[in-house]
Amino acid sequence: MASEKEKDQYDYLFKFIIIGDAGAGKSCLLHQFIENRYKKGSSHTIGVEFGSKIIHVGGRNIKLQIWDTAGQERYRSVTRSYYRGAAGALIVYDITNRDSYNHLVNWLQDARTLARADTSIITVGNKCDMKDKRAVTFLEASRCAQENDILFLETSALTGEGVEDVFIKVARVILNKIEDGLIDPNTMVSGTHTGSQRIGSDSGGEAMSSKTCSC
Amino acid sequence: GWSLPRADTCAELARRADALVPAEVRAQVRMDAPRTFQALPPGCQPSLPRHEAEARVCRVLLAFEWRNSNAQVRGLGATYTQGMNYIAGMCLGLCGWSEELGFLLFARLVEDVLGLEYFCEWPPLLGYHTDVAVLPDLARVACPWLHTALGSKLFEEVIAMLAVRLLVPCFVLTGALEESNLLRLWAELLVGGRSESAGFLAALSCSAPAEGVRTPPRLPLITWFVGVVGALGPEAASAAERLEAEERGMAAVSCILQGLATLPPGWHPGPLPRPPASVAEDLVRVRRCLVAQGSHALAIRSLGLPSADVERWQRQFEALPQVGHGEGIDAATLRDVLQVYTPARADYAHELFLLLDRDASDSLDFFELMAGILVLSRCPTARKLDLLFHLYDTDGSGALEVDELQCLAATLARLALPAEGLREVSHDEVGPYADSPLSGAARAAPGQARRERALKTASELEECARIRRRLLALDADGDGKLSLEEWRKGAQSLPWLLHLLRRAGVVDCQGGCADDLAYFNLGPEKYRECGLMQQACALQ
Repeated sequence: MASEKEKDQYDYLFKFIIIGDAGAGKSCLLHQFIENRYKKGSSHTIGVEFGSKIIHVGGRNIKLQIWDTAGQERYRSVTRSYYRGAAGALIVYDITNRDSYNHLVNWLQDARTLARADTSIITVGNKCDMKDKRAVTFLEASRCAQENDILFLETSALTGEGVEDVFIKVARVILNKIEDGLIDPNTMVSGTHTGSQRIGSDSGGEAMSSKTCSC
Repeated sequence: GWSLPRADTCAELARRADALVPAEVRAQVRMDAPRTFQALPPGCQPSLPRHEAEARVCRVLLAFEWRNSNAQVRGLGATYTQGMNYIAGMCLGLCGWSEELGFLLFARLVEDVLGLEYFCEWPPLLGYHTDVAVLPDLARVACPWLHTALGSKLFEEVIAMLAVRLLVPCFVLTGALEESNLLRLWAELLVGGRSESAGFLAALSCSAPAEGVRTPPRLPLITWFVGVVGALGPEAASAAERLEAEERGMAAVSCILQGLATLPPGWHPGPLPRPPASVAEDLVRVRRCLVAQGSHALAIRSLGLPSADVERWQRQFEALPQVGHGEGIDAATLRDVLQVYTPARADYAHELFLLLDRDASDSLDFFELMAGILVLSRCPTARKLDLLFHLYDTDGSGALEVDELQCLAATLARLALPAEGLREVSHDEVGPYADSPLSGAARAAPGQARRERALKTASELEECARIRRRLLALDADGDGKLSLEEWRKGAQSLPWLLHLLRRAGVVDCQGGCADDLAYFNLGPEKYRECGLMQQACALQ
């Protein structure tokens, strides 16, 4: 009982949004992060799905509230409203699909205009286990990320490689910004939330949200 | 010749689709087909090998795509949207995975019950946006506690998030409704609406009179949605209340989605909190507004103007004295605008107005005015003729079809015969001209009202018929409509057409083109800073 209570306490709440082309593996990435396993027999996301997890970064408990969005172009009129207040954005592409990489700039523009001005953005090259089908090199993507001043990592939602790192890396950057005084968590509208005053009371939240992540 | 693909089989249409459906749509369908089965209830799971079942989902979707991309109306035709694969899988499942039967059921559901516009190409997700505009009010009555717990803004967001998840795939969703409940909802959709099914498009089309509003066949979706919020909202409200503001929305959505499966077999939503008629009216109103915005954007794109400029001009346009409720500007305003900017052209205002007002609404909307500015600019006659073509190609199909030709002919007839105030003609006399074989719901234009010009006088009628025959003479391949090529080729060689355009001040009085005359002094490169809108605003 005590441990469960402890588990639900957090210092900050960060909203993350996962965007990128359809089929890049956004939902599988989220599922791997929350459940620590790959979900076979997947379905695609219609609109938005959620997940949340508390991670421990820099001596703080941080609750990540993650919004996983539909990738099909036709859903942009719907998903645009989900960016609001996001403190972190994951732009996912498929390293075996050149088109999904080429669309990175569009997604980046969406993230910069629709989320918070100081949103921390990471680009994620997913499916890095499929080395023989690779269509985008690590170097190329890493340069692109550098030019655009965003973070970059490659992951495999299948094996789990790099997945947790992505979320921790972004969370750490946001945390640093807060501790450097670049972001005042108390003035945030809904991007990050200070939860230090709270005694955990959302005991159902975690299990609930992991279930909804039907990758 | 009109060839309808209805007699063809799903397999045949799917085969043709391989060549005709855009590659990105085919790729999306192939990507999503394997991601269909998890969402289907146990009774609809295929007993055939998985790869064959996937192939059937693909073929049904591609055959449907072909059938609709072949439709004459672009924009409002349905196109593949994620979630349609769930619906196709469910249809196949209900038909024992018979491909042909499943295809027919799918076509019936999407075309007659949901309406083609539900998944229309543009504006995207029109059905969702339309329904979402009416849902919060209904849901609030069904569960005021949830509204209180979330506040208005968050409540609307929660309803929208639930709506996209539930309505778009018709409740076919992993872990959602218990199977017998899902089947009952589908039975209501497929069978319950039968008497109304003739006319979802008719009920929602621009031309339908307000009193003719009927219950939309997809109303069961809305009824069930509101019922679900009513049943599961209280629990969601208490779950949300325990949390910080930032977490409430997500918790409420999750709580309701997970609650769906717990609704016992035989559960049924009560009646809608409001009588369906008013919901139908709301839907018609919202849908009109959305289609107008969507087709507006489509039309502006066809002019090829930079969007930032268009937005700026639009704001200026909106500052002009409007006709009615922000509809557009009238002939007098146009004259005033011309008077300020180029007094010499003001004399043409009336004729120009007639030419630009192609839907005979007695007001120019923004698109019509923009097209007019370009027509009057110093571009070559060929370009002006192109613009005129696009102006009258109201459905953006790339061809002037019978009713669009009729519209153009009627305008030109009015230009040819300035108001003479001859006798009014009876409906019988108008009939042969006003009726088009494609009139009505099936030809509903995307937003730009496609009202036939009511021709007032007998001489106008005669002139109109004459002009229509002359225009149809340009139809080189005899398919009953004018392609842009045919129009370009033919129009410049018609002295009478140039003569008529001259009357509207579009071409100069020497019979040549206006290229050398600085009517507006608007070279193609100068239209960007054309001061027309600024000048017009100064009038106020």
